[in-house]
Amino acid sequence: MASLFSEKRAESHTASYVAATPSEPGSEQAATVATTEENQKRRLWRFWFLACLFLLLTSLVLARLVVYQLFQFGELAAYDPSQFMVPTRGAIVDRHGELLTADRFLYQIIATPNEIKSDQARQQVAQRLEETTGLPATETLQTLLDYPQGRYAEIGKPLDYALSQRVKEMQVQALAERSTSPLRYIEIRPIPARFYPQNTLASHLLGFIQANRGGVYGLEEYYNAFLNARGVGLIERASVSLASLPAQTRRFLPSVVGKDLVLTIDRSIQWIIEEELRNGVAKYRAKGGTIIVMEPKTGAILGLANWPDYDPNQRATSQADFARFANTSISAIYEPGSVFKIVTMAAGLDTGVITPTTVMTDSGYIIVGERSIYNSDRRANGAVTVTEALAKSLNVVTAQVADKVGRDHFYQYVRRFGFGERTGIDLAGEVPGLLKTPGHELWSLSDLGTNSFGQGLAVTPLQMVNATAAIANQGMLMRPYVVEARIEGEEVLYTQPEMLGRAIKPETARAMTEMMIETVDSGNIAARIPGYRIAGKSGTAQIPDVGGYLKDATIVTFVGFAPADDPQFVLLVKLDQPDPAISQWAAYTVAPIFAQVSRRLFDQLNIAPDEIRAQVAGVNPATIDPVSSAE
Amino acid sequence: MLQNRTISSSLSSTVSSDWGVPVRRVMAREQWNLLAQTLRLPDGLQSFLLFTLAVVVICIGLLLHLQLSTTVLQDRIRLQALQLEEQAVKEQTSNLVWAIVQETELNRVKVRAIELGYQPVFQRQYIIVPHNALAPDLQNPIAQSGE
Repeated sequence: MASLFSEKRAESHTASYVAATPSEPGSEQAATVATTEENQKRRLWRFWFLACLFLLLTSLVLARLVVYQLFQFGELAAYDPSQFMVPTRGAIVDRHGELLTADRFLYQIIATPNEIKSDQARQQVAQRLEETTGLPATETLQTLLDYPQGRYAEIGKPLDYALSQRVKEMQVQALAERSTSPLRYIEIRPIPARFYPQNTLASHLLGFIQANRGGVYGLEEYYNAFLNARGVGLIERASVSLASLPAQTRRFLPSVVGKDLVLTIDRSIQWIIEEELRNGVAKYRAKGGTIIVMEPKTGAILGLANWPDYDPNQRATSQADFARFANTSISAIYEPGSVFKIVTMAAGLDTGVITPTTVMTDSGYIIVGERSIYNSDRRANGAVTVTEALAKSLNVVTAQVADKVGRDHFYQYVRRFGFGERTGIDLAGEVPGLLKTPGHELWSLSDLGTNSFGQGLAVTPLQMVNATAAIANQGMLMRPYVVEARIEGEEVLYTQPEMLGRAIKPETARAMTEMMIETVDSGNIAARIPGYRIAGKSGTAQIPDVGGYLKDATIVTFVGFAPADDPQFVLLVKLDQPDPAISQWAAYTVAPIFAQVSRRLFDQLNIAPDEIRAQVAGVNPATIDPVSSAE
Repeated sequence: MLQNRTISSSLSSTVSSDWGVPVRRVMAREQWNLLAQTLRLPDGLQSFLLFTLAVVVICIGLLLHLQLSTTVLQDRIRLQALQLEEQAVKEQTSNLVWAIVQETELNRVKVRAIELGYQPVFQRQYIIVPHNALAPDLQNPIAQSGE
């Protein structure tokens, strides 16, 4: 170190020496040699100093590496990225928190065949797996032999949680006994699987997912981007805390993914309508059917069922029948028939060309444009009020009303009720229906007449129920919706009921309601329920075919709401092609189904009869206490 | 390499083979010295100190980099271990949910209810309870008044 820092002294010495003896060549040479040696020594010292310093610092680095590589090796090796699975999807629950779909995990046994080389090893693996899971050893052996050079082979079908745990325990035990056991080349990998615990219930609403975990049909498709763990989140910033949901609804929320949907659907109502639809289809030997229950004041769908349905869990086995997957409530159009008369009558009342007591003459037929229109029974009823005409479902009078309203106003009202365009429900696959209006190349004046009683245009059942809901809701047309709330983590975004527009004035809606009540009381008596006033209308429509209509094939619909004074639900029942040997008329097929479903809905929704509600109207409504008559 | 070869050839020509071991030591030391001379370290004290400081700073930088990298790696691994734990919990949770929901599926509930002798109730009758007479006064709950 002395040499290392002796530079200054040596330099000054050299300088003074040079100054003192500038003219002596011998001394100068000796001094130069001494300086050179000094410099060399100093350089050596400095070199060794740096070398030692560098060695020391390098040793520190190496020491850290040794610690990481040797002593913390186990910790590092514990990480296995393959254990992380593919993204999962959020859950869907009904309005009371009943789980309708969610992801669960299944476990796939994965083998590395190229590491299990000997027959004995393969035999051992197959044998142990058979003992643990019941998977036939021959199947495992075959898989291992099929891919002898492969690094990846799936053994058997995915296992459930309990079985997978048994396999893991068996593997741990085998490796504890002998660390070179071929079972070390077996791995259990979790894979997410969608399950629909309610099986066929609400299958058309929910849809299902494909092998790539993308949603198809229903909510799975519509909310595909949201439900996916890596999909979009809640964009809007109007979300509130998850705690705002009732505790019962939060039972399974948030799910493991934390991106979930709470539906407006009530599982019990859904179950009721599916059961009644199934029974109705069987009873009237129909080819299919639909029931929709809707809350008129908000547009919330309480239940939506189609027949035939399918089980999303068993989708793979029903691949051939794609028609079953479509939600016919929103994607299949049909001529609604006489249920459409409520739209025509509402237009007449709203424009003021008629009142419920306006008397019109039914001569049995009317010519509109180039077409003669008859009543369904081909009879003339003479002078009738429009209320009677609606109750008797007279085509002739309805066409007269449409004529009075005028073509422009009539189609204006048809549009106001939401026909000819999508309702905007949050379900995939909705179609707008078919509506020809003046100006369309195929429209003619006769269309005004036929359209007035639901022929020559095509609607979806949802459009029909939504239009009826507008009458029940003081004339306001709401956007139907299925998702009550979207959840992301601890935040909830509620769907706000959305008014699409005013179809008719409130007083018109009240008048229409009275007319529809009269229709049920005097016309569609099979839809009546003692103690409740029900507003409704039936419709029997023929099925269009090339050049005319199918013979003896009808689509029957009944749509109505109850209780009429304070509508809690709008209900549509539709059957496709009921057996004419039983009946092909709505009044004898769907009307009784409507009554049966309504009766059960009153019980389910705890809606007391009109008289009771009227009595408690001035008292606290909470004093109504349901008691069972069976007790 | 050229210099090394030159040195060893010149040394071997001047030193006899009897002095083998010390000569090899000398040779090694000579080579180190030569290396030290070849490396052009700064001549001035100030510049040498600066040079040393630079070397130290670089080494410390390397050490810090290594330390930080490994710390990040360790934390990441810890995080991944926690994620694995979370994953296991999720799997157990979803398995439990699945089991619960299986038991509460409506068709199963219906079968079980029938087994237990329950029957569906239709046509409820409603009665009006006047002024909610039997309801407990929430201001003075029964449990408290009995104490």
